[in-house]
Amino acid sequence: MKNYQAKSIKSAYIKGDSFLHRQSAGLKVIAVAFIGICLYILPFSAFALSLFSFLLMGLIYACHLPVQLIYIYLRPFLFFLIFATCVALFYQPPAEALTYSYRILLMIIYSALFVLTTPVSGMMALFERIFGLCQYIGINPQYPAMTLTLTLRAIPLMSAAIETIAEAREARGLKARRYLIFLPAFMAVLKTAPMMSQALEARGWPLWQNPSLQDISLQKKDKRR
Amino acid sequence: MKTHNSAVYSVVLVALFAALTVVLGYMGRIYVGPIPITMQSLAVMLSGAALGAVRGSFAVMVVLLLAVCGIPTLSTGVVGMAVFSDIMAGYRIGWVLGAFTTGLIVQYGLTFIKNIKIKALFIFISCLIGGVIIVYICGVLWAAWLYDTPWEKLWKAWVLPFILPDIIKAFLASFIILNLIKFKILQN
Repeated sequence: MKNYQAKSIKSAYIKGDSFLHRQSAGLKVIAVAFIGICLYILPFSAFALSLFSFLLMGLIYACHLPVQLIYIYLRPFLFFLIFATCVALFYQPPAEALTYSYRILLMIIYSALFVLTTPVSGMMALFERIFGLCQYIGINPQYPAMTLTLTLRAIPLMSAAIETIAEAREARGLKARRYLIFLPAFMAVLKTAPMMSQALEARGWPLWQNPSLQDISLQKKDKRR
Repeated sequence: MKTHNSAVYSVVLVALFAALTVVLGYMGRIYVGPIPITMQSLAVMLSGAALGAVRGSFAVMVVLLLAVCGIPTLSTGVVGMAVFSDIMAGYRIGWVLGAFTTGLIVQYGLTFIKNIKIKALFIFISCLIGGVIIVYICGVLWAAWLYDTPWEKLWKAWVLPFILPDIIKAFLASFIILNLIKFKILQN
């Protein structure tokens, strides 16, 4: 669990100053979504696939990202991709099945470029801006934005709570039956929630308007006195 | 407990459940061959059943959004926009819909049932519908669309390896929810 705590907080972002690093998160999201539509929805041809492949190679070269890093990113997807390709080979001609898989692989690598060059803070700010649209349906946009931020904070908190429960069980000689941790873990959640919400309220959250400093300057009528 | 603002309380509850979903994903990982069977789908069922339709599905959505941001919140370690575009994306979209369905069934169905045994069975069935059937339908349909294959041909490969552990998880989820109701930690 201790290893997990460190792992969970570490984002995939790699610092850099390349062309892609300098672009805003919103623009990159739109670009990846556009590429996704082109790859998945539009009827694809060999020319289109090779065009996207060359564009991808160009972007990887321009970002100066090591290929090993992209492989590390790809690793969790690879097993399922190979599995899906094997299944597709049973029902489709090999060339067609491999083309479909290649299309998905391209999309995953484009996504890798996006996530490796975009800091988490940039993405969070983008989501906060998107959540701003919630005000048109009567939801305070601060609520979903705060949920995202609070979840990040709560991951190590919950990890520590589960670790404490597991240690308490071990101390009582109940090492086996891991699933019995769930019930106390859920109780921990339900007991922590009121305390955290009260702490938030005590800090004056939620604010309907952004707090700002107001300049107070002397007026003419002040001089008379 | 009674003094808190319900909206703020909901925000905190959703965040804590989302965090718990993340932690459970890394905690109980069992490998059947190369396929990881995690407790994250159990957390999805529990989110829907314990928080209700909207809050439960939003808790799952938060986990996915954080993964899109680049934080490895999913047990497979998948991050980025590929969360919503790779082969397993259908299952992930199914998680959100599944949590919503489970929450909807539990929210409206449980108020009419008084018998504790029937209540247990009802929660189990709702977890099965929301957390298993809806998730698999989305997963198979997505894969069938990606590979342009009829879904009838794919379901054996996409459903059979995972179905038994998921039924056990639905049972476990109903056991946990029932205990939470029994000890009056959750209101039915």
